[in-house]
Amino acid sequence: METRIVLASHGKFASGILSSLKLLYGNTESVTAMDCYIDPKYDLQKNVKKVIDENSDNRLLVITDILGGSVNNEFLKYIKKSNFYLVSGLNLPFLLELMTQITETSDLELLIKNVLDNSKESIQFCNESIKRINKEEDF
Amino acid sequence: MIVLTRVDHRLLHGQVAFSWTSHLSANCILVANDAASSDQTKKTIIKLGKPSGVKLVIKNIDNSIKAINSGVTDKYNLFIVVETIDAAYKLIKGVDAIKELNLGGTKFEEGKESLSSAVFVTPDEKKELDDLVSDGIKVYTQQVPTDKKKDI
Repeated sequence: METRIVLASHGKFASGILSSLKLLYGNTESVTAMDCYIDPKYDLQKNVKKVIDENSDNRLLVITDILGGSVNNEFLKYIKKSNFYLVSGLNLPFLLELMTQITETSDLELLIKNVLDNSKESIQFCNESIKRINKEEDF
Repeated sequence: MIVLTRVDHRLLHGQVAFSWTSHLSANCILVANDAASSDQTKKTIIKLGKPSGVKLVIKNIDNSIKAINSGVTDKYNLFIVVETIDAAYKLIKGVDAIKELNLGGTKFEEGKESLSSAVFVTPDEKKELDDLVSDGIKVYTQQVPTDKKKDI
């Protein structure tokens, strides 16, 4: 079973972060971006359903921009579907680590939990963070 | 075990800290750099970019050679980053355990020869690389983990 990743956002955040991912990681064949509402007549329900239907034979991980947003809410309707995983709060540290760790055989649920924990640590107020850095590390 | 030795003029930055470290499953990063080892500001910046769960050591080239040869790094999946080809040359000449050199990125300057879209070398650096190759070191350009390795 193939694993596909879909990044979904209000506006061009999804395609923007995909371009950053390409620069930092390289091959992103398994990832597609879904920029919603670029056209005022955009039909979210139809487009979300299309993604779900197209990936009925795949393991599908959707990462949306914001919890509670309409994009995430629409995907939430499919949350009980097997082999469907939904993460909100799209960010580059999460995406990068996920890409480097994900394989067809990996335990996706466990991987998502671990990578999510790590990526939360990379959101920092640097003015405060530098005050904590004085420890010299050695082998 | 040394999992990778990389030349990257940006030292520990996004590609290195996140893509490569995670891809290599490295648990220890050695930044072998004379300037950073004696400059508190540079050190702080490098430390702030450290990926979580990974040990980060900053040493000058001489002390890096001593540490690796002493065996204290053997227990780690060690990822070594140097800033310049000259630094890599000194390091590899001093450490028998390094058999491969990844050229990730060097600064573009007028008159330098291009080895890849991100790697530019002076004639002196080219000589150093050729010397390493004749020593049996595998030297290749590869910017990000999913790029193909290209031998020089």
